[in-house]
Amino acid sequence: MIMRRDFLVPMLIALVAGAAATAACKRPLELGDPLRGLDADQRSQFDRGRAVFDQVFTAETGLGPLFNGTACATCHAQPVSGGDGPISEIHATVFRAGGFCDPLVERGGPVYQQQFTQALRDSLGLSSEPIPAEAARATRTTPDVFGFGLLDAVPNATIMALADPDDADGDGISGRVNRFFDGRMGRFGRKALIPTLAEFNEGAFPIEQGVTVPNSQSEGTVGGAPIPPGVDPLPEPELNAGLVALTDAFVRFLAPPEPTKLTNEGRRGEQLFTEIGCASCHIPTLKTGDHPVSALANKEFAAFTDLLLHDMGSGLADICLGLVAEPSEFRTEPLIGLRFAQRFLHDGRARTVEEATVLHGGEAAASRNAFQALSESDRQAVLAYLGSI
Amino acid sequence: MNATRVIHHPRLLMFAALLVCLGCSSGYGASTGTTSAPGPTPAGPAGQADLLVATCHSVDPASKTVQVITGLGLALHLETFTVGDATTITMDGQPLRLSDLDPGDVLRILYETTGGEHYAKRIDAFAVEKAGGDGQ
Repeated sequence: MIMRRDFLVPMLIALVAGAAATAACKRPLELGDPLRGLDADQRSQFDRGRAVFDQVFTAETGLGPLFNGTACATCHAQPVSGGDGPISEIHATVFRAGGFCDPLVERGGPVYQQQFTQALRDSLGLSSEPIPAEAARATRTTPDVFGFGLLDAVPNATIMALADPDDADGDGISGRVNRFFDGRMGRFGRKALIPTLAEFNEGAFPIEQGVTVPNSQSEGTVGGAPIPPGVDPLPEPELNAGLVALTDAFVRFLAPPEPTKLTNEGRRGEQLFTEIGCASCHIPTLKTGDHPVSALANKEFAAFTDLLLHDMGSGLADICLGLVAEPSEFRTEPLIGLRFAQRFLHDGRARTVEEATVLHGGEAAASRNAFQALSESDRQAVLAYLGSI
Repeated sequence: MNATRVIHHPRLLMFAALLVCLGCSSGYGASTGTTSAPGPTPAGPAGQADLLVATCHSVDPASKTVQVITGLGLALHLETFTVGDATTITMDGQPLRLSDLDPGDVLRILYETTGGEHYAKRIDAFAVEKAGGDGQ
């Protein structure tokens, strides 16, 4: 008994210390938190990058002269910086004879900015970029960027292994990669055009805010016409490489929301999600490859995408883009943070997850039909599962 | 209750707590891994050959130029290259004329820049694997 009392105090201390340490280390991530496992320098980059992400630009600090938003966080706004938002933008391209998808670069495409600085408005008497009449148009909502660093770290080989362009297995689901204009495989954007997160992030500054960066120092055109002299006198680039890198670090290290604990109904929904074929494209789990950042290396995460293009049917079709994507083809949307989304599908036409599900067509028609054929309780179970993501 | 077990449990718990904390901080000290955008190869000084891979937008045999689509993400722009008599144009190793190039062809262009203008030394058109390939 003496021996037991002697060790009682250390045992209690150890229990409390162990529990406290475990609780501290395993604190659930909050929305907007960085990935677990970043070192101090990476964490500092994340924090400083968020400040650049939130920075509101003005004409005096580089905004415009054409733009869609004044800050990254203007569009990626809710419920935290890096989330989605209420602002949509317009893309336009033309599908030419011979199968060439023309992004209308000589006419200001493929992104048509909706806002001008005061100086450009005064100079041209216009308030947004004119879109060629012959172009096909597309509305694009703001995606959240949660977990994009993990998506970037998935090896190309993993994605290629999921592709089945000719539906060789006969399951009605194909899946092709899109390709950027230099032939590289794409994965970011609703049409999977952009090959890497670094390009996605840096390229957003000139195209969305009119802020030039080291790798894109042109202010663009107004529907193909040159920017009138004097409306944007700041020297290029308007944002230096260091600040671009910090912004990239914020997005790259932004953690995906952790799925909530499943109820019994949610677990049944999870099973049904696979049984009716949703998981054929919305692959629940992907794994990153080797990566210099340990927090991104060899990590399994809830992705709910194959990063491939699929025919979604004529009802959703809008524009072609890149070397491969046809109007009806869209990249499987990652469902990361789905429970925080406010609008659904690439153009925001769906107001609920159920509505978005029912609007799936093309390769997804069989799964959509299977979803609609479920009993009410089973449909609710699938929605409960999706509501946990 | 076995006294020996009572004595050993806190040691195990302390060890486990230490492991948990070590596991939590296992990323500490990892190298920074942000990558730079590959983007198009910038034009070098006059006389230095550079390489650009891009999509043919248009060909003008009269002015002996080819315009290609390149850029960073969705921030796209056109680059114009002048083709001279000494420029080699091929597809799959077979010689081509400038007028044989079509919009949508992917071109690997070796070029020099002089006085702000790009002069193509060699253009290789190649088929992009639209379904498979190595992803690069």
